[in-house]
Amino acid sequence: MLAAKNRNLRSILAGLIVRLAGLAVICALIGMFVQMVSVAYPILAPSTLAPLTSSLDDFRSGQLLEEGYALDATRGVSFSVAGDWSLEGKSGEPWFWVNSLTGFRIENTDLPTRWTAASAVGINRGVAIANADGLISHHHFLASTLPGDAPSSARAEQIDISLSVVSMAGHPRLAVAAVVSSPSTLTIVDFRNPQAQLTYPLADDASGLYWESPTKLRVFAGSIAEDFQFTTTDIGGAWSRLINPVHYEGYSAPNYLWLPLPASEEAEPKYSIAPLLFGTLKAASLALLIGAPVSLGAAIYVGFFMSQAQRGRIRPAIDMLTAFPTVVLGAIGLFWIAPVFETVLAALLGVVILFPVLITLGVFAMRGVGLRIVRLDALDDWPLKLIPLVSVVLATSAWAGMSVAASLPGGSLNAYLQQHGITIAYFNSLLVGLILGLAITPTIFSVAEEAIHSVPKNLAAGALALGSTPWQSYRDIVLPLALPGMIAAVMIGFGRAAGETMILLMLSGNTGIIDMSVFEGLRSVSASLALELPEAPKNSSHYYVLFVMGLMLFGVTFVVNTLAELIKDSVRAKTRGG
Amino acid sequence: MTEDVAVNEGRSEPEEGTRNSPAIKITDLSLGYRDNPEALIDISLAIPERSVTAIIGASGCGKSTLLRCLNRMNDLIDGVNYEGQILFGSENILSPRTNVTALRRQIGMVFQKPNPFPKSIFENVAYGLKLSGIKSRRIIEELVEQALRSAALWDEVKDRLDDSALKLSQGQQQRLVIARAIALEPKVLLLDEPASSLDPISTLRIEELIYELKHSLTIIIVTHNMQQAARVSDFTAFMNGGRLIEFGPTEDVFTFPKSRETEDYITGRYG
Amino acid sequence: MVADSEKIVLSGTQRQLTGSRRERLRSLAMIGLSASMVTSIILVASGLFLLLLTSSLSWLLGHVGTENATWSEKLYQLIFTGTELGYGVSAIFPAVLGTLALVILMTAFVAPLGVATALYLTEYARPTWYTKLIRISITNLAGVPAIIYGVFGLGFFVYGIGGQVDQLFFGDQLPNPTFGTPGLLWAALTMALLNLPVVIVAVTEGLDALPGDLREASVALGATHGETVFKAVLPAAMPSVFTGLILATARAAGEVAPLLLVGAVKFAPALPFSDRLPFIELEQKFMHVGFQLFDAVLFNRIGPGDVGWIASVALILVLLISILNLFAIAFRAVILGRQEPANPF
Repeated sequence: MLAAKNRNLRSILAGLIVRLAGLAVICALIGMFVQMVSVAYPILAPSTLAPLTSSLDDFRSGQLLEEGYALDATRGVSFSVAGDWSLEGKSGEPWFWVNSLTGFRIENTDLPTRWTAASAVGINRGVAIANADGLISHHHFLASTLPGDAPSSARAEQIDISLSVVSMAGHPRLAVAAVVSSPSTLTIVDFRNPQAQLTYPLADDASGLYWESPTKLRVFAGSIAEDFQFTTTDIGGAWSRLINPVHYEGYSAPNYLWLPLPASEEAEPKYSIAPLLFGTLKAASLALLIGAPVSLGAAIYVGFFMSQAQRGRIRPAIDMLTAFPTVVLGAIGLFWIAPVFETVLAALLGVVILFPVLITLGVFAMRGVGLRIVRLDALDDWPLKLIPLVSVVLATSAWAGMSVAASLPGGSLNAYLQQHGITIAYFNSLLVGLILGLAITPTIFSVAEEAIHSVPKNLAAGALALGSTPWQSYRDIVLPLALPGMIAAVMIGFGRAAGETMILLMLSGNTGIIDMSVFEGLRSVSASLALELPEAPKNSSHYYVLFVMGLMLFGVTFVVNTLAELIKDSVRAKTRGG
Repeated sequence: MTEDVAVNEGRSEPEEGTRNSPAIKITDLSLGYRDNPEALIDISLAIPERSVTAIIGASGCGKSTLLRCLNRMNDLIDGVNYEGQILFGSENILSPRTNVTALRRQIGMVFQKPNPFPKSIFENVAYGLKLSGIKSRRIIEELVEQALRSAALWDEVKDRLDDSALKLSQGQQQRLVIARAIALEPKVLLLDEPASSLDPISTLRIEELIYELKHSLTIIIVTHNMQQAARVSDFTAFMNGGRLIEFGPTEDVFTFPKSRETEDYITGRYG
Repeated sequence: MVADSEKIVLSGTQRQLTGSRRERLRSLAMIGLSASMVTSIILVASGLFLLLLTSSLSWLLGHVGTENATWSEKLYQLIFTGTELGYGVSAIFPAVLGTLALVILMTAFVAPLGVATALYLTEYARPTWYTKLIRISITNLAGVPAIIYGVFGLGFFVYGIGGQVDQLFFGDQLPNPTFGTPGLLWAALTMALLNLPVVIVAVTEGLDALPGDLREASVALGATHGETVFKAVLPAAMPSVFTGLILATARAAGEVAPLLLVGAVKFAPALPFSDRLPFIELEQKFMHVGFQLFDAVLFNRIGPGDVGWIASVALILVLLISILNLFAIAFRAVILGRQEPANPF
């Protein structure tokens, strides 16, 4: 009796431990997502403005005026811009570029002449000018292309606060300006995120304000000073700045730029993740273009035409490819393919064009001359029996491709393309796609093959018994049932290609540009994460943006995989009915 | 159903013989798989035309293998080896020159488990016709109706031809599969335990169908059900261990078996 | 039967199977093409393998690179001394030991947790829509890119937990982090998380493949639920546990991306083993074969002899993973072999 009680107790205990461990793992896996969201959230948070309780009485307007923050529109203002150049203005009169060395003055007609307040914004790269109607415009200074020439300016943004501006102070680091206006309102206008204005009603009409630090704003009203805490991120709560083209300081037009670590300290960091998303998509699409046809073709053969016994033997042979870790594939691409990429490309083009034709002709020929590669329609040994044919065809078509390339005007593919204005970068997207396609082939093959193989064999046998050819029985009966699974396979392959890191790190050139040409390099999200995250200081904007990208990659691959899984599930249910 | 049915590309039609002239003549047939080199041993057998021939025997005796030789479905199996010949008309089925797809339209087959395609009822029957290159929608529709009537299924499905075939009952599915096969107007119909997965009433309907169909075509049925063999067949072949032990009119085989093995099997001493 | 008069009589020409020859040729062509895809994949895989093999052998046996060294000397340098090669690359041996330490530590985490989760999902949790959801999610997590686990590992293990541990126990050494920096422990935890879905999926597959009457038989003999699970079900599913762990090991050896974030370095100051308990230096940075390859490829000036060196390291990695995969396949065959293959008809 006692023994039984012990046993029961042990059983319950074991159950408890297993349940706890299982639930802990499940929670950990869910928690992973939550944790990443919580890490990344600060960058997505909106800016805030709050009064600080400590009110100050040591009013030092003299110092304030010395620092040049409180401005008098009638007396005029002056900003030092770049090199020897400064910008001078007086309300009602045109603005002038002034060279401090030569005293040279050039009129700048781009800036509004009627204004009530003006302030430098950001790090010597812009000016905010407000007129009496409450219209505040933000202008960039663009460095001159020729040394000695005056800079130019370009309007980036215009914001209407519809209040009469009394005084304005530009943020020392960001494209943000604090404005006091009558009647007694403090407004923070963010040129990065024009829709998000922060306003705060003041007790008294304010006379002036200045930034004590990037997060602390001091406002003077009558004889008292009030402090405000301003918190913001590098994107100012404007998520669209990550995706859409952004008019960065010092650029004449909106642009996609990924420069999280700017060369000079004066430049603002640029966080457009669009080029990286584009690079990821481009690499994955090219990989699919190369990997999907081959792996789906192989999956059709192994899953449908091959017998059970042979299938068990051939699958490990194809899985040989999985034994190549992506770091090895990357090394192979770097050492053995990139140096001869031009030749490889010519050969590849030859193979793509000639391979199907030559194989078809080869098979017909072998049949025609009575060399019966298969005795009946038992199809098992084709891959082995075709080794000589496929080798010859591969060699011939590669050779044909290379010789056609050599006979092109210019003598080589590279020279020919250059005549047409196309340059092949050493690290280019096609090279990435080729190696990445190789890496995802076993994945697509394996999933698609399962899908094709899971269609009941007796359906195909029924079609064959009606006198269909093996291909007809595949196309008419098996394919409609297996197609969703094959699509799922391609989706899973896409997910793998999108998240692959090592190959992209080693072969893509890591250039963050949006360029449709397959001969240009690219930079992917995964490679950026691997390269930059170890260097990004913890809790910096860069760190957060990288986490946002990580989340996006996580989300996309998870959703793609889930869809694929659901498709496979629904197919499984359908074929079981048959 | 006496209309001309062209055997492979222009070969001459075998003469319309008397009732018991052979439809298929098997001579010294041996067959081996990679795993089982002696699946069939030296089988010689002439299957009479327009009659029902039952092949009986214990599990694994090779009866299904023999049946699948007749339309070369064994080709799908890994590493199969044939010896001997099977004459269908004047043509050797086992010749490597045989046009297998055309052969299978002549010699239809129905499998143990109903295997309707996951398409509509109409499409199931029409599929074989379309494979035969018949394009006219009108002709296909008429032939589908004809086949479904022949398979005694028309009245049950005529109002729902566009429904999925998977919605039919197992018995209906099996008759649909038979309709699909006879739509091609084959000369021979091979039935591989066609009723083994059906309930008794469906089985009875299949048997009635077999009885009807034998007036127009040759039927060869593999069955493990002795009563069924006795009920539906005109001739019976008994196989054991890959050999043909006995072949003759069903009454003779069942009442006066020549061989001891046959007697043991029929009286239920093994199998 | 339909009366004869109603029948359409098919003429001989209609039954000539028009297009049959074309269909047969098309079938032949399609089968040929799909089969040639299989052949091509096998040829490419063998080609890559031969490329590494010849490149490695020609370096070992030829006279490129280090002059006058025999193949055995080169092999010795490759494995043990490394730096004498003069290419600024390090020896494989410490990297292999580092990989080993990573695998051992990772297995210690992943084996009990993975098996427990699989047991929970198949033997304890009642099958409902949410267990199904969890199973799908876990399958999908196996497809989430490895770099994501690295990102998580850096944010959660290194900066999160590591930072806390430093504040609590190593406050005197701050701001120099002890655990709040990439290291072996965090790498092993990250790899464990990365491989948990792999192990769970493999073990669940094995448990599902077990015949249901195994459990009934055990319970019928008077065993408790716990005894059934641990004495009947789990031992029968052991091959699948091995499959999962071997796949995890192969992945830990080949997957470099997360290690870029959570732990591996080119030159570790010392091997991650020590003579005091627990014999593994948890907070140390360590070396890893895959990372070493990546590092050598990307950040070193490469001379002609280095290609052979790279090929040798790559070859060792490929062979290691091939062997592990073969074991995994063999164990998997043991499980799936229990199910009889069905008659194709």
